[in-house]
Amino acid sequence: MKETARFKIYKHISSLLLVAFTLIPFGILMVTSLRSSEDLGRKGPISLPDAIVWSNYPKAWDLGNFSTYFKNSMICMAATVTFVLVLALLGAYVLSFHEFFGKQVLISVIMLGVLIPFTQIMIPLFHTLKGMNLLNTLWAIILPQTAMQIPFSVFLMRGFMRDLPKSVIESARLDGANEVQTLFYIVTPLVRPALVALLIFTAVSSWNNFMLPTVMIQKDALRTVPVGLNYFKDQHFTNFPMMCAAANIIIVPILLVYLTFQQKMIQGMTVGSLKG
Amino acid sequence: MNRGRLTCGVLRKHMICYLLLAPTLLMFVIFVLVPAVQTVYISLTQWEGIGPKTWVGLSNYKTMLLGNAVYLTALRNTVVWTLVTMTVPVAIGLFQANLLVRGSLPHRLAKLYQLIYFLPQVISTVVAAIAWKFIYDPVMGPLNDVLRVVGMNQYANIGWLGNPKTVMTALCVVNVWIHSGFCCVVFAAAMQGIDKELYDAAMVDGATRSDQFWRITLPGIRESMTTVLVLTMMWSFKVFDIIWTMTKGGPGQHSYVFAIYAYVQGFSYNRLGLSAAITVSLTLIAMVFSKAFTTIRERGRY
Repeated sequence: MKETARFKIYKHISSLLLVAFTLIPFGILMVTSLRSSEDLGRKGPISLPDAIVWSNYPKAWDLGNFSTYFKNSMICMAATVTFVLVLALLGAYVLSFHEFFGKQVLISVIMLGVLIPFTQIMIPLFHTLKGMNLLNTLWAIILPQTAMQIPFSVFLMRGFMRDLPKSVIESARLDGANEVQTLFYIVTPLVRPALVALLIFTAVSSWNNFMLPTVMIQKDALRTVPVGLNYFKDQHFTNFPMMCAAANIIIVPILLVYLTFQQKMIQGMTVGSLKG
Repeated sequence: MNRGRLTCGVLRKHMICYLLLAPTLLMFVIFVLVPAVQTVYISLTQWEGIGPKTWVGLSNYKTMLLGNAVYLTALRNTVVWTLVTMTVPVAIGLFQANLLVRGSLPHRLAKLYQLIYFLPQVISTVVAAIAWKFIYDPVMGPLNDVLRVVGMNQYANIGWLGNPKTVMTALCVVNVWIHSGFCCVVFAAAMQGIDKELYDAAMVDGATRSDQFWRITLPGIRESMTTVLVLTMMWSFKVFDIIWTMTKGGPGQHSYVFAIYAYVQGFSYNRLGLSAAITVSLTLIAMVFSKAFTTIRERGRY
């Protein structure tokens, strides 16, 4: 279609406006993190600092326990991703390729889990974990996080496994492969793209999970990145430059991962809607 | 083939199935299913978290529903939040996606725009909260500075998050900022799947751009549209993170939503029975709506 000049102008201006709306908060974080509080007070937020001040970063790093938060988040993420992938593969495999007593009931019960919001389980969960002496350990994040991912993950993997030709499984069995071998050597490689998407989705959800660790963790030494940052925010809210520096400390590693795996990450994070 | 095996070891085969399912099932049952059911029971008791639970029947539900202004605030805010999130970011996402896919932008530029639009979705909500709390700050915030510069002084002294009249709007803007990119990406993927020849044919027939959008693009992404709306609705009903990190439900209780109301009652005031009743009502509403939506969707397929 031929583009009129007016359409071209309109197209570029609206794109740029939307880009600006998205990027301005990041720009504000960046600029504010590089100035001193006095400079901000004197010149106002919409101005460039007289001198670039880096000291907010080490100050934020020292006052907050960010290295601990990062370590905790990494542990939780790695454990959750491992558990979810293994459990989703096992569950989806059995529910896709086998007929057994009570299968349909099980499927409907697990699918009900997709609809259960975290608030619906938080109170008894808190007391269950307390009873298991797991409260205020990282397990209090890892186990429920894994469990809450199960319905969606099984649903997703089952969707992909059902598309596989049955003959692949049959021939593996004819060759004498047992169930575990069939799953890990035959089925898993075939659903690898789905598995990668699920991995990214689970990793991001785990990394950004906020409400569960807020409820379960009271010790500062066990806080994950979002909860730790929120705690830091509440402690130092009047010192805007340092807060912005803290936010940037959290953004940078995620930004690097995002820029490296851009398309994979976008696909992974929207995986539910693409398959649904 | 399979049948032969079944007859010689039906029981064994069922056992193997259950054995392989056991870890998945156990995790799900212990940490999701049982607590979900327990919450229903707790909602019928009075319980402070320690000591015995006292059966009180439906009295928590009565407390929650009858003459309880806070519950109504939470309900109203949740509904407003859900309606806004199901319309504004979806519309913006649709506009963005249409520009990216049909706007004949250079390929690299389109990719870059998509990367930027999706960025707020990737970062943690707390980071968004820090940036926007600063933007809205009554004393230091850039927003009020901008208003002063453009001469709208009468609005410039509002603490956007501290004023009951503006707090929900201010929060909704942040949610639009976070959520639009998600809608954009999903729609863009769907639009790329639409047959190009449809557009060529339409152009031959002299259809305008807006004709093409309404007659080809929109019907072409109907499935993704439903999915996005259902997902958005589910997320909106249970929203907690962004509101908790920005206002903790305040000022007063003016930005309460269900999840915040339940959390505060359960973990700050130790009224676990009431908290459970609130959350049960939330879960029921969410289930009814998503059931209704999927039913409509199934019907729409024919």
